[in-house]
Amino acid sequence: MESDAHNSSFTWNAIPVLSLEEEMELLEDKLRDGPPLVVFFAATILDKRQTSHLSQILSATKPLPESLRHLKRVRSCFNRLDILLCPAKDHDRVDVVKGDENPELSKQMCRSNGEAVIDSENVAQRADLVQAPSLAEIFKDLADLNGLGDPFLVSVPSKAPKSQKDQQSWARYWPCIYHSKQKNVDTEEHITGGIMSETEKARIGTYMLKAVKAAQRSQVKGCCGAGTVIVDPGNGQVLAVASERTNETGNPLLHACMVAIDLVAKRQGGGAYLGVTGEDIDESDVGGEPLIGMVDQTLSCQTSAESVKPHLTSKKRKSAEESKKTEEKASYLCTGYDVFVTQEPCVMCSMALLHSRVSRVYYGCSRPGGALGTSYRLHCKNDLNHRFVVYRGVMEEECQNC
Amino acid sequence: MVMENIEHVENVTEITEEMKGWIDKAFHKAQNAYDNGEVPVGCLMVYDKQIVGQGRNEVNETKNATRHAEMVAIDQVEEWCQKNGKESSKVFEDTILYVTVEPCIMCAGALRLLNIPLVVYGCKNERFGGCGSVLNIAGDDIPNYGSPFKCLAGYQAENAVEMLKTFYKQENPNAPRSKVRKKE
Ligand SMILES: [Zn+2]
Ligand SMILES: [Zn+2]
Repeated sequence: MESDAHNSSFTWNAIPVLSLEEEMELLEDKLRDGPPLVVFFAATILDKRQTSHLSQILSATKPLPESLRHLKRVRSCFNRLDILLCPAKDHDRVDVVKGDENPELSKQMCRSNGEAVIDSENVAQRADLVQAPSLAEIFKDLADLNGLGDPFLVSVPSKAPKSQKDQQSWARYWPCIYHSKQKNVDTEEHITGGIMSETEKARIGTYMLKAVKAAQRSQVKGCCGAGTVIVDPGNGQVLAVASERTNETGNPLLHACMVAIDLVAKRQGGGAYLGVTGEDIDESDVGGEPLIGMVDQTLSCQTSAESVKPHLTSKKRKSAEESKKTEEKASYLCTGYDVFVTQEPCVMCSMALLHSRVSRVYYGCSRPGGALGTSYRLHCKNDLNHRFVVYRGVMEEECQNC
Repeated sequence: MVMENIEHVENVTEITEEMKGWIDKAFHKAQNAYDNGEVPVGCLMVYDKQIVGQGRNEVNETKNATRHAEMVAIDQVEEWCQKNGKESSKVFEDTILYVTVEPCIMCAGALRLLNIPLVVYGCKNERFGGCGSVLNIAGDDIPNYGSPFKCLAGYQAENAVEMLKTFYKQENPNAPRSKVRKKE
């Protein structure tokens, strides 16, 4: 990718601003150094030729619960095949704990089971050792389960792996399916330590630079405020470039985000701030020739990068779809749009962006009283009707100095 | 920065007869919003016993999701100050907001920035309320963010709820139904 060489070194990193729950979960994952677990009954397939037949029967009669669809039905273990039967009931789980607490019992079980415990940390192996009911007890109604050994208990990951790394390391409990295409692709990617591509950084940087320049111009006018840029990520079009206008107009509420939202409304034939204009959207006004080149390169690079990053493709397509929907249905809202702002938006601006239903907000520096990470995390508050993805730290140094 | 933490007050008994008169007037604005296909919220800003600003929801009209009644009224107060040669920052510090529904988080933020001392409202805003329902922007200690304000709530609450209910039951000709529900 040519533009990667062009922008090979970014001094900043876009850091996702997560909800408190997500952050706690992340911390727990780190501390636990493994997946959260749930106990299942499994059985060894004695006759391997029956494998597909057995998994068909089990899938039909004992489908995995919705929340556990990430589990593969069959695992290959010590040269044998094991198949998941169904989740263990609560009292069986108690048995597992008992077994853990009683090493003598475990040893006994180990001998009777005949399997060697290879990894003492392997919960799955320990769970193997605990007594489980017979097949007939679990499947009172199923006669056609010939070819299955006695059921045993096994601890399996209770949530889907968020990265290939997780998928690999969790396989020692039970193999899982890893879906890279999840709802919050960009957040998920970062939760697990994925790195934002240089291409994506170049795209973000291009727009943030416009916001920085807008903020700088407002400073010249005697303002101290931020700069805001609103972009339709579906086609890359810049819809509004605004700076804070409080000093100039004497209206203390004309923060850059409020102005930018109104500029988008004006494009749709609406708008409320009659005399307040935006900054020029024209590329040449913002960065001169090199920036135009950079924009083009970024966009063309996006297309070439799509084959490399499948999840990015789906994200872009979704945005395009969303913005099309936006045009048709509710063109006055900022549905599906990306917002680039030099400083963390305040309570008023953050809620204004939420009311306008933006998709993503990228900001440079955090600030006291900020409502997208510092004082509040409005973008991921459960009881509000819209959530959006937030990144901080974008061109932080430039944003600090403008 | 020292700021006293103001509790979310819902105390109808503290609402004076004069206040009740203003709230009743705010309902006229809400009705006006309703008649124009906007979410029925109306408000007045009263300074020195006179109305210096009034507003109703203008979201659909302006295609700007931030044009809540409070924001519209605030802009009117600015205009009034310019016309009357008053310093708006001083006027806001002495202005009471009367609004039919609890201000949302955005508007509560705006009211803090303007140092509005008191808000009298009708019913709670369970969806977006910024004066205790979803967040307490009115009373929280937020650095560099104006001053907390006091709220008196509950007078005419049933009336305000009834208007909202009736509004959401009918189709709004100016906006897709799914979107309308999500505003204020
Ligand atoms: Zn702001
Ligand atoms: Zn509001």
